[in-house]
Amino acid sequence: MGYLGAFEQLILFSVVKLGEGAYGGAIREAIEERTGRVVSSGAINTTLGRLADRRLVRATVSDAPAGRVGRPRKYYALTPAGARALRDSYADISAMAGDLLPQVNALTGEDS
Amino acid sequence: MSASAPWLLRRLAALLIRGSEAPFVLADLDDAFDREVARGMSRAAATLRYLVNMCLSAVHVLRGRFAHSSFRLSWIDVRLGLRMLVKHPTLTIVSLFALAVALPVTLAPMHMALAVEANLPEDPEGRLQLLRIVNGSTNVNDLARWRPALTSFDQLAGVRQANYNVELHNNVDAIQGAEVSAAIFPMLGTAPALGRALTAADETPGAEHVVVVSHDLWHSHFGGRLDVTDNLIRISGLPHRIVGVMPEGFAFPSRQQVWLPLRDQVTPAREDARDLRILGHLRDGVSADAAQSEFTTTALAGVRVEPGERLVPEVVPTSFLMFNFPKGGFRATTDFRMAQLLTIVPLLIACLNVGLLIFARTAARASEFAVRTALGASRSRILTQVFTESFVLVMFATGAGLWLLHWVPERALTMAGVTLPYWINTGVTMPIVIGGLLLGVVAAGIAGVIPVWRTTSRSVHHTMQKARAGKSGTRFGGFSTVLIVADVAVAVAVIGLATAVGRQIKETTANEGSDGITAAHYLSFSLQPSSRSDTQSALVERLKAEPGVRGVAVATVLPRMEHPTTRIELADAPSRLSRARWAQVDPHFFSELRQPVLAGRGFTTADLLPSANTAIVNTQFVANVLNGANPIGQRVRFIGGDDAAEPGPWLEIVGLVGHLGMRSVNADMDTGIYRPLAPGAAGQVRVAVEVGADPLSFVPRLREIIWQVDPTAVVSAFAPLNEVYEGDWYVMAAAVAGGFVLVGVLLTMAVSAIYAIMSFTVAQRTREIGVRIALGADRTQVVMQVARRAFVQIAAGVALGMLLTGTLLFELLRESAPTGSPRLAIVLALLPGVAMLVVIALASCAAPTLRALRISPVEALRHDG
Repeated sequence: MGYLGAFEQLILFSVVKLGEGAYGGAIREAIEERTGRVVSSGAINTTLGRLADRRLVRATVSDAPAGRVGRPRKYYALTPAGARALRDSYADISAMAGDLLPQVNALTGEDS
Repeated sequence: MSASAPWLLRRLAALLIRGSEAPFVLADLDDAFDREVARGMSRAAATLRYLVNMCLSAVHVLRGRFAHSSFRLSWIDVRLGLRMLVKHPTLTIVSLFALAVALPVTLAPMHMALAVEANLPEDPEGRLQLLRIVNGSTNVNDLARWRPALTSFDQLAGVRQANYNVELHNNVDAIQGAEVSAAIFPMLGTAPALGRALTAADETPGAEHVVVVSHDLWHSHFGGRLDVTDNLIRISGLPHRIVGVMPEGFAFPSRQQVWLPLRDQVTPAREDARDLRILGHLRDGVSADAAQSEFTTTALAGVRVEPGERLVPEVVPTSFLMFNFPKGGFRATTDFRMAQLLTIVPLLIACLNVGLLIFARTAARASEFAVRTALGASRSRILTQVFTESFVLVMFATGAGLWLLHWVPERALTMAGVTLPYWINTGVTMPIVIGGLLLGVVAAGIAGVIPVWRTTSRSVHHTMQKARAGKSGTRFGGFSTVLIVADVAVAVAVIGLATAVGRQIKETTANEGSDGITAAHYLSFSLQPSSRSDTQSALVERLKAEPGVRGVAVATVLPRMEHPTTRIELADAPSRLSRARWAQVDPHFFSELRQPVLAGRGFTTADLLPSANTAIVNTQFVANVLNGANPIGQRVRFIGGDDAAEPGPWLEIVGLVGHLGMRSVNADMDTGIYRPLAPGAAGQVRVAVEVGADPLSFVPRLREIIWQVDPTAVVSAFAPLNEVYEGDWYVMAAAVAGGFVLVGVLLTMAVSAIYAIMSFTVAQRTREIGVRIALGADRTQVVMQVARRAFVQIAAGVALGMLLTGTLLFELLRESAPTGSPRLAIVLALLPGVAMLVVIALASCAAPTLRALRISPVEALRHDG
C-alpha cells in the first residue's frame, strides 16, 4: 500500500473534511485555511492524480455547477484503501510522536 | 458574471500546464482568481497571485509528468551545461550577447507600461483615482457638484500644476509647483516633516498667501534650517509665508517643489472656470469599477452638453494625471501592442540562431550520444541533457538581460537630461523579473528544441553506422539555410536603413546655415501665460530697448524645432489634400530674424484682425503643394486631423518666405505655412532674442527684465537657437543607435551560424576532401565546392535584404535626393553595408575551408578507420 507523505495526508484529510465538495480548488483553500501553507493548484492536482493511480481516491468528473459555465471539476472521494492508508499513516506518525513533542520543542529552543 | 484573469496569462497557463490534469488545474487557477477578486482583492494583486500559482503549478505538473521517467533536471546536467559554456567560449559569448540584447528589448514595452502605470508610493493600493471627462475638461464647478453627489469617494481634491517664478536669495527661478486643495494631503496620507500642511482656511480668498515647500527646496535654499517656517518668499511677485516642509521624496504629482492653496471660486457659468484636475479617494470596500458606474450616471447631471459633443466621464488611476492614456492605460494603446509584437522578433531570431549554434555543437557529439544510447541511456535522458545545456546558457543570458534592462534606461535618461515624475521607477520590478524568467524558459525551449529534435530524429542504428564511418549522421537541412538567409537579409536591410537615416542627419547638419539665420547668436526661451494680456508686447518692447539686443522674434514654435502638422486644402484644387507644417508668428517675426519676404508682403498689424485671414507660405510649399505656381492670392484652409472637425476659414496667401527649418531631420520636407499671432493670444510662446555670441550669458539679465515687466510671467527652456532640435532628431538618433546594436547582433549571429555550419560541413567531408586532394584534384575547385553552400546563402540573403529595403529606401530617399536618381541613392546607401557583410561572411568561411585544404590523405584515411 505504501507510506503516505505529509502533503498527501493533508490532501486526504481535506477530502474527508469537504465530503462531496472535494475538488482541487476547495482542497487548496482548505489546506491554506487550516495550515496557512500556500500550495499551488498544480501540486494539489498532480498529487490527487497520483493518489488516484494508487487507488487511494476515486475521481468523478462533474459538469460545471449550476449557474456557472465552462469550468470542469474533478471531485474526489476516499476509497476504503485510501481511508486505511490515511488511518495507518497518521497512526504511525502519532505513535512515533507520542510523548516526544516536548523534547522536539526543547530542541527548537522555543517555549512550548 | 465573474471577473476573469488576464487573457494573456490564461493563454500562458494553458501553454505551460499540459497533460491529463491540466483542465482541472486551469479551472482551479481561474476559480482562485475569481474568489480573490470577489473578496475585494485588487485585480493587480489577484493577477500576481495567479501568476505565482501558475508558475508553481507548471513546475509541479511537469515534475509529476516526468517523475517516473528519466526526463529529470539534475545537478549533473547543470554542471555539464556549465562546463560546455567554458569549453566553447565563442559560442557562449555570441549566444550570450545575442540573447542578452534581445531579451530586454522584448521586455521593454511591458517594463515601460508597468513603470508609467505605477501607483504613487503614497498610495500603493491605488485608492486614489483621477476623475476626468474625455473630450471635455473639469474645473472647480465640477469639484463643487461632485463632492456631495459622489458616494464612492470619501474625499475629492483639485490639482493644477504650474511653473512659478520664485525669488530666492535675490535670484528668480522658474520652479515647478501646484495649486492643490487642502484635502490632498490627508488623501495621500502624507504629513509635513516640518510645520503644517495647507488647510481649508488657506483656500479662502483674501487669506494670507501661504506655501508648503519640498524637502529638496528646504535643503537647497534654506540649508535645512528648522526655523524656515514663517519665512517669507516671493512667488509670482507676491510674498508667501512658508507654513510647512514636506518629507523627503514627496513631489506630488510630478516633480513639484511648492504647493499653494487652491482658491478657485465657483463661477456662474461652468465654461468660465479655469481647468482643474480632480482626484478622488475611494471609500473602503468600494472598487474602481463601482465608482465608475456611479460616476457615469452622476458626473454630467445638470451639465449642458452641446449637440455632437461626446463627453465621457471616466475614473482612471492617478498616473493618468501625467499621461493621457485611454481608459485601459498604456497597455490598451495600439502603440503598446505594436511594440510588443515587433520586439518579440529579435528574441525569436536570437533564439533560433542560438538553437542552430547549439545544434552545431551537439551534432559533433552525435556519435557520443549513439554510444550512450547503445549502452542503455534512454532518449529522454539525452534530450534532458541537451535541453539543460541550452537552459543553463539562456538563464545566464536572462540574468544579463535583466541587468541591462535595470541599468540602461536610468543611465540613458540621465544622459539625455530627462526627469521623470518621482513615482516612476525605471529599475526592474518583480513582475518583470518573473516575466524575464518565464521568457527565458520559453527562449530555452525554442533554442533547445532544435538540437534536441535534430539530434534524436534519426535512429540509433543509423547514427552508429555513420559514427563508424567517421560522420555524425546529422544534417543541418533547409532550416539552417532559411535562418542564415533571413539573418543576412535583415542585416542588409538594417544597415541600409541606418546608412540612409545617418546620411539624412548629416545632410541636415550640413544645411544648417542655408536658412541664413545665425542661430548661434539667438537665445531661445519659452514664455508662459500670465494673467496680463500685455505681458508679451511689453516684454518685446523692453527687450528691444536693451543695449546689445538686435532682434526679438516671437512665435508658437521657432525655426529648427519640430513644427506641428496639419492637412490643408487649396481653393483651386479642392480634391487634392496635402500636409504642411505650420506656426503662428508675430507680425515682425521674419524681419526680426532678418529673413527677406521673397514675394508679396510680410504680416502687418492689420493681419491680426479676426476678419483678416491671411497666411504666408515658404518656398517648399510652392514647390511641393503648388507645383511652382505663384502663391500670392491663392487661398488655402486647414482641414485638421479629425475628419469630423470643421475646416478652418479660407486664408489668403499674401507672402512667400524661404525655408527656416520646420522639421529638423529633413529640411527639404519643410512644406510650411505661417499665420499671424496676436500678442497674448497663445497660451505659451517661444521667443528668440538676437544677442550675439554666447547667448546663454544673457539669461540673468533676461530674468531681471522679465521680473520687472511681469513677475507672474514664467520663462523656461533657455537654449541657443542652434541647439533646440526636437522631435524627429531624437527619434532618428535613437533609431540609428538601436539600428547599430541590431546590426551587431544580427551580423554576429549570421557570421557565427555560417562559421559553425562551414566547420561542420568540412568535418563531415574530411575523408572525401583528403582523398580528392590525394588524387590530384584542383584545390580551387575543392574550395569552391566546400564553400558553395555558404556563397549561395549569403547571395540569397543579400538579394532578399535589398529587395526588402528597396521600397522603404525609395520612399525615404526620394525626398532627400530630388536632384539625383533615387535608385542610385539606394545603391549608395546599401553598398557599404552589403560589402561589409559579404567580406565578414566570406572571412567566416575562410578558416574551415583552409583547414579542409590542409588535410593530408593519411589523416583522412585515419579518420576513416
